[in-house]
Amino acid sequence: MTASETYSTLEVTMSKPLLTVENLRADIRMPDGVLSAVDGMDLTVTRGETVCLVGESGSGKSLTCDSITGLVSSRKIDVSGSVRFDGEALLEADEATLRTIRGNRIAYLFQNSHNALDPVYSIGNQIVEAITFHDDDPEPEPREQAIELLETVGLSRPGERVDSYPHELSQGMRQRVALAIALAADPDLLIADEPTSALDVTIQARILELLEQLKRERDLTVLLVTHDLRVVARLADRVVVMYAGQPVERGPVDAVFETPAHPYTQALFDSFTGTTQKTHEQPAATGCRFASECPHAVDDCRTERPAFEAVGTDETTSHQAACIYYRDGRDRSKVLERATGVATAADSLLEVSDGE
Amino acid sequence: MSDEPLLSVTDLEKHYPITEGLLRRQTGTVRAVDGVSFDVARGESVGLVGESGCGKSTTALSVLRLEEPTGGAVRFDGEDVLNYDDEELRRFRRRAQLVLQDPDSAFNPRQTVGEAIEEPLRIHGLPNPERRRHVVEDTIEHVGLPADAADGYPHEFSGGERQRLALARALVLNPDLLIADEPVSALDGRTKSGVLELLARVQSRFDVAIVLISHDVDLVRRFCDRVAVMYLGRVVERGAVEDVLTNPAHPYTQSLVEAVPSLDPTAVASSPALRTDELPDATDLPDGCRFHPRCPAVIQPEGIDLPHEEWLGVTALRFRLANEWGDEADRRELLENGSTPSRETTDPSFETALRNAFDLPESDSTAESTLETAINALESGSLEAARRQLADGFASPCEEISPAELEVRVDGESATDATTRLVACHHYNDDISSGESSAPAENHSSK
Repeated sequence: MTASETYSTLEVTMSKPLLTVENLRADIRMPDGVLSAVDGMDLTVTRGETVCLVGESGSGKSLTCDSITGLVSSRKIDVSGSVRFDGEALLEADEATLRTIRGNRIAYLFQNSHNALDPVYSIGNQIVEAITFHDDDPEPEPREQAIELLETVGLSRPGERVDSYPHELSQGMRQRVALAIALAADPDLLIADEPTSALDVTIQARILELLEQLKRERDLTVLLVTHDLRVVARLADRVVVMYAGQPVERGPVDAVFETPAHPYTQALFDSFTGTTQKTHEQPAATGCRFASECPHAVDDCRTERPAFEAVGTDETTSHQAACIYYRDGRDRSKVLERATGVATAADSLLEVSDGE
Repeated sequence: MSDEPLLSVTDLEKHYPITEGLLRRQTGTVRAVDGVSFDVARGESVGLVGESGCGKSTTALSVLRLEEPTGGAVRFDGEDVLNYDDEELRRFRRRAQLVLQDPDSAFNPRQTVGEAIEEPLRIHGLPNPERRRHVVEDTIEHVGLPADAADGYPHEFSGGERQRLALARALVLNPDLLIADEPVSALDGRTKSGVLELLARVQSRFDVAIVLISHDVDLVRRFCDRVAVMYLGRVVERGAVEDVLTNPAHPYTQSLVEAVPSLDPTAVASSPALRTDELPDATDLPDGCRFHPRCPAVIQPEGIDLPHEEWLGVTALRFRLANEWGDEADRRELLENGSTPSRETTDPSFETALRNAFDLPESDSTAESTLETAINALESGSLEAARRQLADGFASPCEEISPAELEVRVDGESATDATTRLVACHHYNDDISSGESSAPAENHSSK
């Protein structure tokens, strides 16, 4: 673990980021005011790595992705901040530029392949469409490419399946086809929004395996959105935990899973072992949004928004939490003490699932 | 209190006819539930787990007679549910309730949730409106919402709250049995564990027995006392949750458990060793053990004793020929990909290519002669002959005999009071798997 970790951190520091998001905000205009659904999101994705946005429904993880690629309706939602994708400022880009980037350089894989595929076209047609849409003079033949792509995503007998229609394929195969379409233009970045949440557990295992293999073989860069910590553990290199539109913790996946530092992250881990539940409190309007639910909240939490602070004693660590307890002069052990408790709970679950 | 379980399901069957044409001639049968047995004791929770399409929901509906079972027996509190007349059925449905996955469609949008929760009380005879209101408010508080939620409309509540209200409606008649079909699958994170915790609290407080239907192995592990694992309309393994899910005996249960990703990022990724991910056609289910086309531990026939890898190679070839061998295309592909590295210099032989591609054995003489004949037949283009040759020579007992449920005690169980589990797999039947040295459970742990 340590050897590969050093290797990957080295690599990360050496190459420059593919995607940089700074202070992204998405404000939804409501009849009775503004809901700030994404509030001060910072994010970097380096080539070849998988960054995962994790949080519960409504935490703004999907909206973050949609805001990055300009897929939100500007009539209802105000997006501000800075998004740079390979040097291009996306929030300032016009629709034509965005269109070339979307699909061509940034591809999407959604949760539900039923909606992603058109029932009246053969899957080959749909892949060919994705190829020719972004490439006027494809080489080799688009159909050949489509068959090759189907093979890449692990569909057996692609030469025949290329002519089948979505309804002729199983759930898992359709998700593979959706992935083939996403990969058609050889994108720099794949945004995978809950790619396995609607699938059966054995099929989920296969798709995870496939994504892992593509990461390895094609050096695919992935921005993964999920609520399932087990999927995060399997695929992610780095994690950003979101709560009510704000990032609350970020860092390498091993560090975050070993020591969940923010009280919300801890609660999320607890929910996987069945010892926590959501309170009926609304997220706080000012300060730390988790303050209204947090067992450790003090008065300061409600007035000022905490900045990201290093979790460990090492100030240079990339494992950071936006929690007041990690500030200098505060007693972080109060929160971390619980973190060890969480780790034990997670461990006991792991023991059970790894048990022979 | 008698020793008899609250609910006892024996050989339950629900077959749907497939009809065709104007005369609705029956052309086939979908055996959605085909001989399912399990018991639920008072106050305990039993999980029904399996992939979509395995018949777990149909089982639930058939037990409640919301779908009329086509065979088998359901006994509830000592009475035969299938022989109930209308009045008895009404009484039964007061005591046995159902909660579904989707809380959005569980409520009428034009009714306040209070009215919806009150409805069963009115139907089942509580005439006094004030008392009804009182019971409704009381129940709503039990599921963790304020009493005045009764005046709200469904859309005013979040998914988790709506699921709590659906639960309140199921509980308002104080049932003895609650069947919950994927009750938290539409929820995530803390909302999910909150509803789950509520279910557990409700169970101990109202002493209600719960049948939890889910595809989520972890969920069943966390919540249930006992579990029945279903595959294509049959129960393949059942017993105490701790036994079955931590030390699965049936190869299918093993695959299911292995498919769940670990919560530990440093763990070595496990993945199920299934031979194929495709489920068989529901109208044409495999003979014998229904899991055999996917089973990684399919048993070798008598007289054949190949190393495990080679045996899997032979079955893979058979499977491929039987299902999807496109003669010309596959032959070409095989020669291109599967041939020996020296293919630039010498013409690759079909036989070598095939043997490489499927990892076929040359060690066992009985197997070898059958294989040789089959490969020759295939090379000369007679697919049928090759198929027949392989089918005759390598017929596994798994595809011929349907496995009965056997009592199994897997070694190394720590709990002294561990109940014996039931497994429907030939590996545990000494008459059939006598030649086989290792049970799949041992294979599993030695990996």
